[in-house]
Amino acid sequence: MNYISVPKRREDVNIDGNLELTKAIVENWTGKSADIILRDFVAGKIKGLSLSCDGMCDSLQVTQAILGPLKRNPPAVNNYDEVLKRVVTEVDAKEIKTINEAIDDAMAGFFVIFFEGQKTALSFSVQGFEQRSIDEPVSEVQERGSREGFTENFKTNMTLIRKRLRSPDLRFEILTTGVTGNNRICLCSLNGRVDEKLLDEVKKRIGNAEFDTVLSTGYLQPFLDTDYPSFFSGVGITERPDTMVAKLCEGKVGIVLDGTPYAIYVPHIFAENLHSFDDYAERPFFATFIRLLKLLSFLISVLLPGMYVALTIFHQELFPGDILFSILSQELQTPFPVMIEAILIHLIFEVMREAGLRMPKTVGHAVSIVGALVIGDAAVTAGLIAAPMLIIVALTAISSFVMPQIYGPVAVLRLVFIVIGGTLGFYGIILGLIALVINMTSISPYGIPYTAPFSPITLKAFRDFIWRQGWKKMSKKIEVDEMRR
Amino acid sequence: MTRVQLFMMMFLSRVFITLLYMPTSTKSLNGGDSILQILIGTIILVIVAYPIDKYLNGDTKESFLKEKSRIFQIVECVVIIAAMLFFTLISLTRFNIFATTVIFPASDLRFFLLIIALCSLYCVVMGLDVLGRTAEIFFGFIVFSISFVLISTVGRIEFINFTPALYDGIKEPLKQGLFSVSQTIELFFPVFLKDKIKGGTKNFIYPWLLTTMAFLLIMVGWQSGVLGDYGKTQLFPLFSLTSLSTLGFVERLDAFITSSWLVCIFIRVAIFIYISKDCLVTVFPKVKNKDASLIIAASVGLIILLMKENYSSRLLLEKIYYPFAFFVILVIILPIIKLMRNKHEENNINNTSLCASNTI
Repeated sequence: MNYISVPKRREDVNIDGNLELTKAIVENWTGKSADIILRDFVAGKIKGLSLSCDGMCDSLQVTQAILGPLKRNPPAVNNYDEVLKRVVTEVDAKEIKTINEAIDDAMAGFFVIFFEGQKTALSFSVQGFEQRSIDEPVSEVQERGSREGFTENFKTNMTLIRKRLRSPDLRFEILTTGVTGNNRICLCSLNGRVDEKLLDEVKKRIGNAEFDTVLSTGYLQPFLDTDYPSFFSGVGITERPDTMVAKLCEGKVGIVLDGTPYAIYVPHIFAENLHSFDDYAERPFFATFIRLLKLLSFLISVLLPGMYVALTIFHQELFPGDILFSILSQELQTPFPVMIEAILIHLIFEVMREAGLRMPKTVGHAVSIVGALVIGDAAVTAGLIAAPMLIIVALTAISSFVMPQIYGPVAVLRLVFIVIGGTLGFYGIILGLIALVINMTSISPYGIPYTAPFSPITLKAFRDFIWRQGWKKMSKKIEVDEMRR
Repeated sequence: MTRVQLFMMMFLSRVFITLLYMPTSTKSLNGGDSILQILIGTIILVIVAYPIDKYLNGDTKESFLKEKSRIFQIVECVVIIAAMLFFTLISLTRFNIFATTVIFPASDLRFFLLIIALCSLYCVVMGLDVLGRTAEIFFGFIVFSISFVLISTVGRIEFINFTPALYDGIKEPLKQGLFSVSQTIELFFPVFLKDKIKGGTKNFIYPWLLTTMAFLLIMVGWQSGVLGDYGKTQLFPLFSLTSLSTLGFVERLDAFITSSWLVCIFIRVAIFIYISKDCLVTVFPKVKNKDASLIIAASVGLIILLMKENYSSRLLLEKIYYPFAFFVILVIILPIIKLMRNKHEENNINNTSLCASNTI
C-alpha cells in the first residue's frame, strides 16, 4: 500500500503534476466534503483531474464549454497553451501554481483542471451560483434616484458601480481576508481623485485586521474607523451604487465585501448624514430646506426629551402659564417622576422598534398596533404616563428616523441627555453638549475633521453642506481637496 | 488650530469676563462712564498690544518656551503656570458666585465646577485642534444668544440712562478701564501658541482686539441703556438684561441663554489648562502630555474643592493688583524679552554671514 504524505493546510503546496497526490491533498484538506467534486477525466492521451464546488459553477457551461471540447477535440500535446488557444476558447481562464489557489478558486466558483505531469493548473471562470436579483435598496429609499441596490454578490456590485462610472480611472482591487472564511473584499477608487496615501492606509488597515471570517462590513468598520472612542463613525455605509459612485467621485475609497449588500466608504463626515441622493435631484432651495429639517431633526432627537425633562423639573418659568398649567396638571397625575417616565417610555419604544424589526413582517405590524394601543391610549387613560410626555417621545422617535445612519448614537445619547437634564437642568445639558461636541470634533477620519466643513470652516465646501448650490456652480472635487487641506 | 479658531476661542474667553461682570465688586459706574471705561481699556490695550503685534508679525517659528538658559526657561514656565492657575481660580470663582446666586441659589456647586473642569480636561487631552474646533462650533451659538438678548431688549433702551461721562470724575472709569485691561489675559494666547497656529499670526492681534472690544462696548452700552441705575444694584447686570429678553409668548429665557455662557468658562479653563500643561512638560520633559494635563486638571480640581465662601471669593475678585501683575508679566514683559532675543539672534546671524562673506 502506498502511503502519501499530505502537507498541512495553509502551507503553500506547489502542483507537482502527480494527480494522485493532488487528489489526496485536496481530499485531506477539504475532509472529503460533500460539495467538493474531484473527477478524473481523459482528454485524448492526457489524464486529467477536475476540481469544483457543487452549486458554485454553472454546470452547463462546464459541460459545453470545457469538458465537452476537451473530450471531443483533445489537445495534441500536454500543454495548456494548446488547450486555451484551440480547445477551450469561450471561457476566461488563468494559470495557477499551488493547490491552495486551486482550492480557493474552486470555493469561489471556478472550475479547476489539472493535467498529469503539468506543474500548474487551469482555473476557468464559470461561476454560476444562485443569487438574489438586483432589488430596490431597503434602508435608503429615494424618491428620484435609481431603484437598483447592491446585492450579496460583489461581482454584481462591481458591475453596478462600473455601469455608472464608465471611466478607465475607476479601479477595483480585490483583497482577501479571513483565515477560515477567505472572504473577498473589493476596494474601489477613482484614480486621479483619490489620495494615494488614503488608499494605502485603507489597504494597510485591512491587511492588519485579523479575522477568522468576515460576514459583514461591520467587522471591518472598527479597523477603518478613527482610533479615538466616539459615538460617531468615520466610516460611511450605503446600499446604493449611485451613492457609492458619488463618493468615489469625491475622492473616497469604497469597500465592497462579498456576501453583503452594504458597502462602506471612507472617510465619512457628519455633514454627509444630512445629505441624500434626492438632494441632488431636487432643486437647490428644496434640498436646502430638507437638509435644515434633517439638522433640526437630529437636534430634536438628541436633545428634546432631555430639555423637556429639564424644563419641567428645573425651569418651569420658561413655559407660558397656560402650557405650564396643562403640563403640570397631567404630570401630577402620573406615579413616576418625569425623568423616570421619559426613560421608561423611551426604553419601551426601543423594545417595540427592535421587536418590529426582528419579527416577520406579518407579525411586526401586530407589534405596532399593540404598542400604539397599549402605550398610546391605555397607558395615558390609566394615568401611568402623561400625554405631553407621549407627544415628546413620539416627536423624538419620528425625528430620529430622519437620519437612519446615525440612529444608534442618537438613541443612546437621548437617554444620556434625559438623565443629565433630569439631574442638572439646562446647565447640565449644555455641559453634555460640550462633551458631545468635543467627542465629535476629536475624530478626523483620514485627516478630514468629522465636523468639516463647519469646523474648521471651509467656505468653498459650504455650497454643499446645508445650503446646496445649483449644479451649474457646484464642483464637488474642490470640496474634498479644500477640506483635506 | 487655525487663526480663525484662535480668534473665536479668544473671543469666547474674553466675553466671559464681561458676561459675568460684577459692578458691585468694585464701584458702580453710570451709563456714560461704563462706555468710557471700555474705551479707556481699549486704548490701553491697543498700546500694550504693540510688542505682541511685533512679536506675532515676526518670522520666528520657534516655540515660545524655547530658551537658551534652562533656569530662565524654568522660571518662565513656573510664572506662566502660576498665572494660569490664578486666572483659572478667579474665573471659576466668578462663575461659582454666578452659579450659587443665579443658577441654583444657596447650593454648593463645586461638583458642577468639577464637571466643567473635567470637560476642559477632556478637550485638552484631545488636543489643541479639538479645542479650536469646539470653540468654532460654539462661537455662533454664543454670538447668537447674546445678539438675541440685545435685539429682544432694544425697545427698552432709554436714552436718559446714558448719563454724561466723567460726571463723577475720571478716577473710577480709569480704574475700571485698568481692571478691564488686567482681565484681558487672552492677549497672551497667540503669543504662546504662535508656532501651533495654521495660517500664521500676522496682522492678528489688532483685528481681534478691536472686534472684541467693540462687541463688549455694545454689550455694556446696551446694558446701561436698558437697565440704567437699576443695573448698578444688580450683582450681574448682564444676567438682569437677559431676564428681560422675551420670545413672543415665552417671557423667561434667562436659564436657556445663561446656560450657553457655560461654554465660555469651559473654553477659558481649557486654554488655561492647555498652556499650563505645555509649561509643565517643558519643566519636566519626561512627563507625558496626557499626564501633565491630568496633573494640572487635578490642581484645578483641588482649587475648586478648596474654594471659599462667596464673601471671601468676592474679596479676591476685588483685588486688581494680582491679575494686573500677571498681566504685565505675561502680556508686556515676556513678549518684549522674546522680541529682544529674536532681534539679537537676527543680528548675530547677520554678523556671522557678513563675516563669512568678508572672509571669502
